[in-house]
Amino acid sequence: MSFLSSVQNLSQTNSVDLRIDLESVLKRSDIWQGSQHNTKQTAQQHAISTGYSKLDDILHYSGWPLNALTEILTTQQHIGEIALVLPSIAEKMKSGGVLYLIEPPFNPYAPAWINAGIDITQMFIIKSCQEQDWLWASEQVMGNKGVACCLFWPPKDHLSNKRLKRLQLASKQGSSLNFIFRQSSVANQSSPASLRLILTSNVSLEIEMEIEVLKQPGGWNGQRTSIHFS
Amino acid sequence: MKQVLTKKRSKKLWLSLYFYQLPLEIFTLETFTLDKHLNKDVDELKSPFVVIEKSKLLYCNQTAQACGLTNNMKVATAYALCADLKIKERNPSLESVCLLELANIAYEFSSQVCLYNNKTILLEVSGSCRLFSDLTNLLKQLNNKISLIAVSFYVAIAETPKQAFLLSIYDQESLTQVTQKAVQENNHRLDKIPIDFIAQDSFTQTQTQTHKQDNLKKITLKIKRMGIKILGDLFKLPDATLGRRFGSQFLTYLYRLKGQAEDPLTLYSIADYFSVQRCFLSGLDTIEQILFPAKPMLESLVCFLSSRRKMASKITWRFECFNGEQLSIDILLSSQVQSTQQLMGLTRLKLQQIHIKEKIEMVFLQASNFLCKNEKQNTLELTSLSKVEPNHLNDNAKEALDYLKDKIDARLKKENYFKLFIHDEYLPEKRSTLQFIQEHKTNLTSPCTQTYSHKENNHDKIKQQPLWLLSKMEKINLYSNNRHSNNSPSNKLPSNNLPSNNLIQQLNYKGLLTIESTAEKIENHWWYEDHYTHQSHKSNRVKNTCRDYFIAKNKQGICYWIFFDQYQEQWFVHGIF
Repeated sequence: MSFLSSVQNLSQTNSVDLRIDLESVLKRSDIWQGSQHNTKQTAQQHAISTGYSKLDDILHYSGWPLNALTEILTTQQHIGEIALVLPSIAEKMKSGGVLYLIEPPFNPYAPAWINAGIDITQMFIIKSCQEQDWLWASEQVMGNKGVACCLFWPPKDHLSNKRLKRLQLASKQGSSLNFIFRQSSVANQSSPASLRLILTSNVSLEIEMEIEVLKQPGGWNGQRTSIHFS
Repeated sequence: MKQVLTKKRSKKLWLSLYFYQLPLEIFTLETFTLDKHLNKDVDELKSPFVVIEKSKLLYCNQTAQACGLTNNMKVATAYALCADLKIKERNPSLESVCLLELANIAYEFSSQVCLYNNKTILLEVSGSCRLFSDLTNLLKQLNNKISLIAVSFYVAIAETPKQAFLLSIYDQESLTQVTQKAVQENNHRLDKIPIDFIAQDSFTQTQTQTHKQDNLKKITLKIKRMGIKILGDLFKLPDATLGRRFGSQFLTYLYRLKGQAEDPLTLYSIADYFSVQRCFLSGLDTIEQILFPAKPMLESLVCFLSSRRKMASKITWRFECFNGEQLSIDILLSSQVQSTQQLMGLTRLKLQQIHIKEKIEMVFLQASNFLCKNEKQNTLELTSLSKVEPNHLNDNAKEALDYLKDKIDARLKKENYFKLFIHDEYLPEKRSTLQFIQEHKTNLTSPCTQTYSHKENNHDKIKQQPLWLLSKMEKINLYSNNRHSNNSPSNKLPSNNLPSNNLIQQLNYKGLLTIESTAEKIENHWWYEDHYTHQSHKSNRVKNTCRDYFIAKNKQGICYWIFFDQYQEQWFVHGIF
């Protein structure tokens, strides 16, 4: 049933039914209310805190969206994008589930991940696969209910909209934090990812990282903030 | 009045399943299954086909019989009558595997299953009738299960195993024709059985097949010479006379047949391995064709496992081509719920990786090393390598995760799927390693690698460590205008004498690097008084190491983990933050 048909149905019923129907409509996952976007309850339901208050402040759900694909675009790799997501991953893994790294750029160094609070016994790495295999694996992992987090570095920067859509749909099936890391050169391409951020490193201004929201669930985009890593 | 209570002994009911065409059908049963699936005629069903033994025809299919071929006919004569005849030598091992598969099915309905001879399975069903509410329901479900394998069989039910066997080969009834009432009429029916049928039976189950049959054959001939044609007439003779003429063994046989003596049968015990195989006369050459028989074979495995409350840690598919080539694939399993659907999914993923060059004649499915279902999967589950209790996931999520791991195992190559391990080593490249997951799964007996997952770790003295380690350390170039470029620190550098800042400023790795931290030293053999000269000691097997680690940043803001090797006198990039 589409939203419009739901509204049409609503207008034809009495006030009691109206309330009941409205509630059912509002329960739909693809409908959000602007007035409620920033409440604690919504945040807890749909997101997990990033661990950086400044970043939480500019996100409507006050954190990384769950059951959704988050696209992180960087002007250059290794400017701190992993440090940005690590606190939330450590937090999410506390409640169970495993972490999958798909096609990471290098081998993870265990002591550093342990120090960041990640249980490496729950960490799996898929790398050096053929294109069909990493696409298949990412879809399977993101759609699995036993996975807490998935970090995906597609070796090919150009991913078709169809592929990204499949990942986004798979993410909805699971209950994990799903991040895909790509170059900022694809920022102008449309993407079905729920949240899109672009990260820029600015050494000259002594600001470690500038973050701009390109797209986010629950409201408008264009927010900017900067984070200094200690 | 004194009451004497006597416990009435409950009557036993033996169901006999006689697979009269088994030597023939083991070669064609999958053709029937394929036919069912595809809903069309398959050539093998129409073409004349026979099974031979010692150059004589033993079993003929209907088409062969229509061509005039009969049992005991010589192969040369058969070819003369039918030029396009397909011939297979009798394969007793294949028959016994198929019979075991059928016994596994029977075991789902009764714990007392007996492999009576190479074509018959007996099962005691008096208790099972109560379990399945009545005999009709039991037989219906049994029929449904056996029909999946598509073998022809006759059935009889009686109070003794031998009665059931003789009635099954004489009456030639299907499962649907058997009723409880039939048991009451058994004595009457038994009387009508011709004496010849005894020749197909045996004195005891434990004797070798040929010896016991020869004995009974000789006795049958003698009885026939006496003018006795049916069992009823034989039963009328006095026991003493029969004993004197044919021996006590035959008399015991008759007692067992009539239920006057216990029949000591060897019951089928659960095998600690599972094996099924299928033969394809026309061969299989596509994955889709293999998947058709794969499903019922996996269903057999699932039945086998569920009746034992076990789970398989590995299943093996083996394919034998017409030219004798063999192909084998292993599927490692960590999932506790092993359904046909899941196993089919994994098989499909694994089959997609193989290339079928020749037509496949035989398909084998084998499984062993079973684990109890509720047993903690210490040997399988990689998470158990950790001392930390890993997950608070609910059962569904755990199951989904296990299946995901199995799927990734099945789809990806060994060298694409890893797990991260930390070791008690001081060199970073040895301290943190990636290891293939499949090796850990298969190498069940090897001691687990020590893992550390706690944040507080005395070994990690270096506080700032990179998230990524380069698989191979990369050399850092120095600018050519550097006046110190060829003047690296000497081997006998005091511990506090690091390379000058002037030199560091000129490090170049994808742009100029700026040092952001103080040095962290990794050094071995420092406990020797002369550890700088110790390096030259030839007998020393461990390579000397003295590295000063720094965090360096380039203009783009990328932080690298770099070090200066005191012995090689060279800067390297080792990690990225």
